[in-house]
Amino acid sequence: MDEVGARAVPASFDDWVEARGPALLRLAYVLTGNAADAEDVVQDALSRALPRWDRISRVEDVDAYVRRMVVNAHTSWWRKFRRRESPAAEVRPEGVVAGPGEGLGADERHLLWAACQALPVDQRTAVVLRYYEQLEYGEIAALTGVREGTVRSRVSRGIAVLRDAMGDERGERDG
Amino acid sequence: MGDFEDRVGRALGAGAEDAPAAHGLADGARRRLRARRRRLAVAGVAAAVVAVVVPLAVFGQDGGDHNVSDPVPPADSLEPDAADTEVSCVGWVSWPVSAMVEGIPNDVEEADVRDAFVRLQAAPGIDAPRAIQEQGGDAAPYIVLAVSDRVTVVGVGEWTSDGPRADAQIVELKQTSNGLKAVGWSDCRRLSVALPEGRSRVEVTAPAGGVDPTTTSPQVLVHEGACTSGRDPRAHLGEPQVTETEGGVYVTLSSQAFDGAATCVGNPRVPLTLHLDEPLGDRQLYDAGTWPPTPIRVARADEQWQTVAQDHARAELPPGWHEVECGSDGGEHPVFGPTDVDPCEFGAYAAFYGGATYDALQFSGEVTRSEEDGEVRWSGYVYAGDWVLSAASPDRDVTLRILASARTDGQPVVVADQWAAGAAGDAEWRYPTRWGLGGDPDPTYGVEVSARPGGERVEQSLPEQLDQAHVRMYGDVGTHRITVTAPSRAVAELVLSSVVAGEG
Repeated sequence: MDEVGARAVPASFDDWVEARGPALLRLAYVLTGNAADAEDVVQDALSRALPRWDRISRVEDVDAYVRRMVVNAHTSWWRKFRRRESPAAEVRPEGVVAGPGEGLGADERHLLWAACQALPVDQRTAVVLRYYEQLEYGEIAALTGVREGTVRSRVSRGIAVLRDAMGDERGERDG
Repeated sequence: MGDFEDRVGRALGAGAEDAPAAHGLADGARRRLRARRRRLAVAGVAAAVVAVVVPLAVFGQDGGDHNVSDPVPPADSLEPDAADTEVSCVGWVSWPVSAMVEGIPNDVEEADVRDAFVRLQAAPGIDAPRAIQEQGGDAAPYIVLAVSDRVTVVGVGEWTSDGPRADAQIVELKQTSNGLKAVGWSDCRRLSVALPEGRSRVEVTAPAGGVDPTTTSPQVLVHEGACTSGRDPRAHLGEPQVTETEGGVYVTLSSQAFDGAATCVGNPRVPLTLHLDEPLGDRQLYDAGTWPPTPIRVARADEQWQTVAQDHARAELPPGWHEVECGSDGGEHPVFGPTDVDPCEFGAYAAFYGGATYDALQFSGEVTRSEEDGEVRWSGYVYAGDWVLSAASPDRDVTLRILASARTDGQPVVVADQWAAGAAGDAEWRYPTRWGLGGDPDPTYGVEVSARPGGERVEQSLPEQLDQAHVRMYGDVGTHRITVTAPSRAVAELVLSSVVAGEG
C-alpha cells in the first residue's frame, strides 16, 4: 500500500503528479475496482486541482488534500452512476485454502477483493482508507467529512460483511 | 490490527498492483479541464438560447424568424460542478441545475402533460401560470424538472440555468384516474441549493462596510430563514462549506432544522468568522446556498477604513477622509474629514486634541445629537492615551465607529460596525458586537452591574489598564454601579456612557 501523505511535495503540478500519480491511481483502483473508472476518478480530481494548483501546492499536506479530492470524486462518480452499478450480490468462498506459511492465497485475495468491491460505497471507502491507506479513524473522518463514530461504524459493518462473505467466524477487532 | 483486517489490507494491496499505469496523467488533467471549460461555455450560451430554441424544437411551433438575441456569456459563478448542483424552490423535491436547461430524462408522455395544462388553463383561468395563459396549454414550453413516486414537477415558460425567467413557473402534476392533474404551481423565484433532510438554509450576508478582503478570517453575518422562534442560530450551525476558486469564494451554511412548533419572529443576524486558505483579495464572496450564488459585498481598497495616528494615539477613519489644516486659536490644527464637506466646519470630522487641556462640555463617550440649519450632527469624544479623539458626523453609526477605534499603539483595533444591547435588571447599555474584535467573544469583556456603594457618586472613574487589551472603568448610574471591562478606554467610555437605569 502507499503512504500517500508521507513524501515531500514537488513544487510544480507536473512534478507532483509524476511523483504521486501512481499512488493516487492505485488508491482509485482499489476504491472503484476497475482501471477505467480509476483513471476517470483521478483525472477528474487532478483536472479540478490544476486551476487551483498555486494554492493547493501551498497547503500543509498536499497529498492529503488531493487524496481527499480523489475520494470525493469517487463518491461523486459512484453516486452519479450507482443505478448502473451491479456489484456481486454474493461471494462464494468455497474451496479457498490458505497456503501454509502464506496465509493469503491468490483465491482468497480475489475473493476478498471481490467482496470488498461489493460493499456499499461508504463502507468500501472507509475500509479502503483504513486497511489499504492505513489511515486513523480521525483522519478518515476528516477526509470523508463524517464523524469519527460514523467511520468506525462503517469500517465495522464493512469488515463484518467481509467476514461473513469469507466465512470467517473469528471476532478479532481492530482498535 | 487483527488478522482478518490484515488479510483485507494485503488483498487490497495486492489488487492495487493491477492499477493502470500512470502515464500522461498531468496532460490528461489539462485536456479534461479544457473540455470542461468548453462545456461550461456552451452550457452558458445554451442557457441563454435554450429558452427560445427548445420550445420550437420540441413542440414544432413556428419555424420562421426566431429572434434569437446575442448569447449571454456564462456567469463567472458557474463553477465546474454547477450542472450537477441540486436546487429546489419547493423543499420536498430537488433537481439538478442542468434540468433547468434541458429537463431530465423521463418517460412522462407529452400528451398527458398537455392535457393537464389545457385543463389548468380552463379551470383557474387568470390564476393559471402566465405562460399557459398566454401561449395555451397545448403550446406553452415546458421541461420536466423532477419525477417522484407521487408528483411530476415541470417548469413552464422560459427557463435557464439560473432558474425561471419572468413568465416561468413550476407546476406540480399528480397522476389521477383521469390522467395527470395540476395540483399546484408557483413562481419559483427563490431557488436554493438542496439540503439534506433535517437541515435548514442559513443566509450569509456582509457586515456593515462589507467583508474584509485582507484577512483569512473575515467576518460575515448569518441569519436563519426558517421560523425558529428567534433562536440564536450559533448553537445550531453546521460547519461552513467553503469552496475557493481563482475568481470567487463560495460559502454554504445550514443549521439544524428547528424541532417542534416554532413562532415566526424576526430571527437574529449574528456574526460568524470564516476561515479561508487565502484572503479574499480581488475575489468575490458568494452565498452559495442560493441558486445562482448571491454575491456578498466585499469591502474594496477604496472602501477600507484608514488608520491615522497622533503620537501613540491611533484611530480608524472612513474611506476617503483626508487631512486638512483648520485654523483655531491663532494656529493651524490637523483635522480629518470627507472631501464633500469642509471638515473645518466640524459637521463631519475627526481630530486629536491634547487630553490635558481638552475642555469638554460633556463626559467622554457620550455621543449626542444636535441639529443646525437642518443638518444633523452626532458628536462626541473619547480618550486615547494622552490624547482626546473628537469626532462628529451626520451618521451616528459612523461617529460611534470612529470613536470606538481610538486606542494607543499596541491596543486591539476595535471595529465597532455593529452594536448589541445588553441588560441586567433595569440597567441597559449598548456595546460593540463581540466587542468589535470579531472571532469568538472574549468572556473577560463585559458589563457588571452591582449596587452602588455608599459615599460620593462617581460619574466616571479613571481607567484601570489591566493589560494591553483590557481596560476597566466604572460609574454610578441610578442605584447601580456599572463596571465595564473593554478592549480600550474608548470603548469602556462609550459603553459606560450608554447605560440607562432606573432610580428604583
